[in-house]
Amino acid sequence: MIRLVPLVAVWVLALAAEAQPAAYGITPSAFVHADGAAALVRDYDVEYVVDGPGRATQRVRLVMTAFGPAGREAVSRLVVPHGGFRRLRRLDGVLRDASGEAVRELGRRDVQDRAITSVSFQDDLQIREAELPGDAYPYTVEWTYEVEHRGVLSWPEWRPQRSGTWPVEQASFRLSVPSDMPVRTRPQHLDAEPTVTEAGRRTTYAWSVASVPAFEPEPLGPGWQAQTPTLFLGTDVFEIGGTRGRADSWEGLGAWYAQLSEGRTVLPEAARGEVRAIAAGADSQREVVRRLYDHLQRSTRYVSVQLGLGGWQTYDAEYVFERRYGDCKALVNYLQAMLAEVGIAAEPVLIYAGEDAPALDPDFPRNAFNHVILRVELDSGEVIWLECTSSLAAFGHLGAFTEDRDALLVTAAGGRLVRTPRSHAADHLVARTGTVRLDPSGGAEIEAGWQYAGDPRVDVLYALTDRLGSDQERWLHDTAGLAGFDIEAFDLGDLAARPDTLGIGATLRAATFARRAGRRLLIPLRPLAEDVAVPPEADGRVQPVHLGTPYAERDELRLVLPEGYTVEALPEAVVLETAFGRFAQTVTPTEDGTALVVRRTLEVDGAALPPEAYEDVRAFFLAVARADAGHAVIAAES
Amino acid sequence: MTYVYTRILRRDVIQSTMSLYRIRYALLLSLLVCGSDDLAAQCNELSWGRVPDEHLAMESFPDDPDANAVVLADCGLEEVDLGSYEPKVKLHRHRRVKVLTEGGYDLGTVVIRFREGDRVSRVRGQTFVPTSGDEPRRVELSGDAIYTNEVGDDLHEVRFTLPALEPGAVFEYSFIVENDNFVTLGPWTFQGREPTLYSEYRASFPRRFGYVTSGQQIAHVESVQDQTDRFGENYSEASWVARDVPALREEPYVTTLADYEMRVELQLREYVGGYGRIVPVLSTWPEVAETLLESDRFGRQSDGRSRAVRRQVEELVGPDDDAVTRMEAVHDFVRTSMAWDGYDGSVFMSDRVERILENRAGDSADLNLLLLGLLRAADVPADPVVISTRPHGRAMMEYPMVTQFDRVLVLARPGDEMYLLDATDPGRPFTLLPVEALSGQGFLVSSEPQWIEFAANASTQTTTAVTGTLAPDGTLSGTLALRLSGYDAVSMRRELREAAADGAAASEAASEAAEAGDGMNLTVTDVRGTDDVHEPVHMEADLTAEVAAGVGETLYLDPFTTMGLDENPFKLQERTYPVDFAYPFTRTYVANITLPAGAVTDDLPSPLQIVTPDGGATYVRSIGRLGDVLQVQSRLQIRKTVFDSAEYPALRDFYDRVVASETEVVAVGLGGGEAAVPEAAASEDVAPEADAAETPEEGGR
Repeated sequence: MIRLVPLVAVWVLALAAEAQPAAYGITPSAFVHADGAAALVRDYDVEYVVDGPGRATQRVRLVMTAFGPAGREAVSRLVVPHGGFRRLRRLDGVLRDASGEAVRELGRRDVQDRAITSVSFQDDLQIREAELPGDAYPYTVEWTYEVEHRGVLSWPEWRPQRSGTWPVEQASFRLSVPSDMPVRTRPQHLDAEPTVTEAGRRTTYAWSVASVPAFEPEPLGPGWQAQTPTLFLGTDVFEIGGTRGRADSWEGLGAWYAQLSEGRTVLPEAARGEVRAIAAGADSQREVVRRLYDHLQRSTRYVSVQLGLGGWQTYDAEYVFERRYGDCKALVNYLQAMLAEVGIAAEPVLIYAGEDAPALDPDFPRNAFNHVILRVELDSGEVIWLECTSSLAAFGHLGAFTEDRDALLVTAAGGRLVRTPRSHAADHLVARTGTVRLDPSGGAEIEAGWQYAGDPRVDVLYALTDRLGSDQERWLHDTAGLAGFDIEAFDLGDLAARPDTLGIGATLRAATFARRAGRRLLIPLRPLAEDVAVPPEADGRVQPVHLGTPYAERDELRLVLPEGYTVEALPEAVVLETAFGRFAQTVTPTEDGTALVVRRTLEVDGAALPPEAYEDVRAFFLAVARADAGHAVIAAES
Repeated sequence: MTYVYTRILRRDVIQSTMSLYRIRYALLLSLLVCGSDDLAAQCNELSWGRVPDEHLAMESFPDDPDANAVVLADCGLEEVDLGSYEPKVKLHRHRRVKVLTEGGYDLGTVVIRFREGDRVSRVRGQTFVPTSGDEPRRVELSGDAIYTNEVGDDLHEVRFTLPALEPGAVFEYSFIVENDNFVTLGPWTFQGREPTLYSEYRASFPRRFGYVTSGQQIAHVESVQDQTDRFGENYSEASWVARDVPALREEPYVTTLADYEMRVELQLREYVGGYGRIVPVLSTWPEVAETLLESDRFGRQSDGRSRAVRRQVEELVGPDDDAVTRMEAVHDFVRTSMAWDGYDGSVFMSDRVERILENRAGDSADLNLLLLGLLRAADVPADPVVISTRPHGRAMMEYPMVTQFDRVLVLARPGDEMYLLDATDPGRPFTLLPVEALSGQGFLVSSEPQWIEFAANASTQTTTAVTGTLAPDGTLSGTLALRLSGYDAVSMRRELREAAADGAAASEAASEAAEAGDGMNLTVTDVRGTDDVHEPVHMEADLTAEVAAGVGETLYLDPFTTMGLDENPFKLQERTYPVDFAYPFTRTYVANITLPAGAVTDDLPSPLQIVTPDGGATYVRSIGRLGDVLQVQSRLQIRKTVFDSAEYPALRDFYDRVVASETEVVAVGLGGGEAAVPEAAASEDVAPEADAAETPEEGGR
């Protein structure tokens, strides 16, 4: 959109342009830095001025150039969160053409405030969205904004590439603090040392980088957060919402969280009666915990409301008891209160959740958490971990969301780091069994059974529980991986009971099962599952290989041949053994020759491997996919 | 989550269909009116807090085993209130729901979206949880759990979630929404994705306001008209009640569920102003046309008189061009030089035509009304046609309401031929309408307004031709030629544009168009027809593909070279609503595969023809051998666009058979073993017989 700029504005812009000669015209060096990327960070300057433990101001100047449509959003759209403890004082933008001339300024109509309701049900943090699109590439947008923090929990992280992968021409970060305020820093993939200057009882630390190439994600690579240059900052003391805490040790952070929750674990009388009734007659502490966890899962739901300090302070147990909903903190706190009622000690654990979450640095205490779970230690010494926000999670299983990482246990004495348990391939199991009665047309009647445990169990429960019959039918079509079929029977078992191992059965009539080839039939060896994903070809691997959550598959298929058919050819047995995974497939005729039995097992460990292992990983999955795609050939007796 | 939108999309309608000044002025002259009190009236079968025992005790809903919740009662009382300077419309909504499973919690989270200036008030809610005792536990929706947010341009919301939800619980909520749009009341939808036991909508308005009602699927809705006196004003009261309404749920290949939902809506036709003068607002189709033509956002922007528009036309057409050439030139200009912002939904221009032209961008109404103006300025006779797009639902001829339409097209008459035009896609020729506009009927807005019917007129075809040589290891190398016309060409051009914008290669788009499977690699060598939208798109590519697997001395060759249809698009056994393909199409596949020297194909699959009972879908396939070359041909044709639910099993079965045919493989003997040769001879005798046996059976279903 082209807009006529009023004369006054042109004059002001002209002055600005003079002050910064040739500001952000497209120079040859910009192309060199961009190196083919659709967008380039020309300059990203952040200034963070700390006035006290609970007061700071952040000033940002971000200049980016878009070279093509793929860079448009990153360059032209800016989203700044504000509200709650942050006040957005200023947000400006200038659009510049290829020569660096200012073409347009951000106007009121280009800016939009809106509530964030996609993450939480309600949050007092809002976003201001600004959009300044250019009409010819390349173009440059210069953003400036200032955010005032009234209440500080942690100092910001500085990522020159922003929340992504863009190449950077230059970027800088300045931290200005009262000289008596300690500063802790932890660079990641960043060798810049700060220059330190002192003036008027303030100390300024300045970092800058130049020429950061674009970050290219690689298949099966770790998340970008762990791989791109980042500066982590740690404050020793913080103040927010009338509370004060110490972040220079894990104990300090834990103590602050514990203090916020103080007095919030009191159950109303009606709730105490409910808890005692549920626990009555249980023959062990473990059984009591199981029952109360089950009760929590069935009687509450996850509704996230983050207002004021509520982002960190739990709603009290009465709130959850009355409304029967809460966020992770409130649900953890509620279960903790219920367990306390029957004399079982449980403690919240602050954690950074997510399958790809960056690891905590144990030597660098800071507030780097986005979730809370509950840890229960029985008198016997057994430890039980509970995810309180899922009504489908199996008792005592964490899953890929929170397992195998450091987290902060909040105790009465403060806090300490603990490690969540790690799962093994056999914990995440998909098992399939089937009897397939083939007919000469290539069709078949199939009696199939599926079993799920661990994370696959939760996924399947989620896909099937309380769904329409047609949705469940669609799930079966997606899962069975056949061209199409009629369902003669479909047994979902008792989904509402949410058993630890889920069993599903179906009888199907498929018009096309084996592929016809004249008088022969080609029988697929792995019909009841989706294809295994093979990592793509990739040269010059640099990043480590992360295989994600471990898993196991077991298949046993009995293929009953049509009358008058004999086996013509069978694939040979395949056995693969590697450091990270195992695979075996055999196809054996039964003694009387009327059927074939296909046995297949696949186990993949959740290993982190060096970059050079990528080719082995790919070769392994390629071999698995080849074996899965094989056929047995049977022929009509002529 | 339940989203309640309060007439958000209608603001432009108010502006266009009537002048608010006129109404206000008229009311000032009318009798003194007093403020009405809150909507104390309650709906007949719903009283706040009084939940019948049988509803509390209900544990399942046998009529619909899929139900996660049951709407016990849903009531809307809508009233035109003359109590203040400006007439106001107040909607009092009260809804009560039984939760059967956790899946029913969704209905307990409510978001009410409203415009700046509208008001949402008196929000309240409560949940009843059955207990072992006599009385259920009652939990009120706390005031601090009702949130108001700004969510967009002039758009706000009130959101809340009911407390204490659990299977077995009953919850209810109510609120009042006030706004000043009394031109339309409703729409009220009696149906949702969960079953509804009782749904009542009542509209009350001064008798001086004459509304027309439009209803859809309301054959079984009881309706009552009544009159009352309120504060000296004679009021009409119209109410509609539906009982035991089944749930309405999504299915693929449906135009839109809105076509099947039970709903009612009222539009102001006229009102009696001062001195008993009847002020018409909207009453007949000719008047709808007239109002549109006089509108500042419609007719006046597209009359072709704007100087900027005329100047643009001078650049586009020469003095000697004939009318068809002028039409094409103007259409080409809008299509290629004006960017569609992707928005649809209004038939009104969002700004003055000069601004739209200057911005070189706009929504669909902006672009097509600009097109209209340019055509008129170029002396091509043309008129606007307003339609309701397929996703928006069918428009009803019985009700002269402009709110029914969400898109405007242009009917041009450069000579004897007529063309229905839309210029929102740079890759679509003037002979094709967008797929979503293929609604079949539209309203021609002119001095002689009328309803017109139309259908997709160009053929849509994709032809895939593979020529290559099969190596003994099962690899095919050769070339692929794709030819796409009609809608297939339009989508290919779009994909190529988007691929180019993302910096991706044309090969990916080609692979997708060819529906190439795993193991096929394409290198595109030539693309034609992307700029000249009247030509088909041609693509040529070098290909290598793994198309055969060897077992012993035999290669099992996929004659469809990974591009066959290997999945039935119609998975579910039953279907409630018709399948609608929008336009007819043909897919043709031809392959000439040179086999390794001396290869033996001992029993080739027989020729085959599959037809649905009325010939609406047909399929033929033949696989033959000429010297060393295996010749494969298949053609799938969808000749009619709508298959009703009774025809669904036959259509699904048709696709089952197509899949069986396209997954068949050819055994290719490489060793020339003893067994293969005599069988090859035998197969020639067998083939005609198999053909005769198979064809009638396949075709006769």
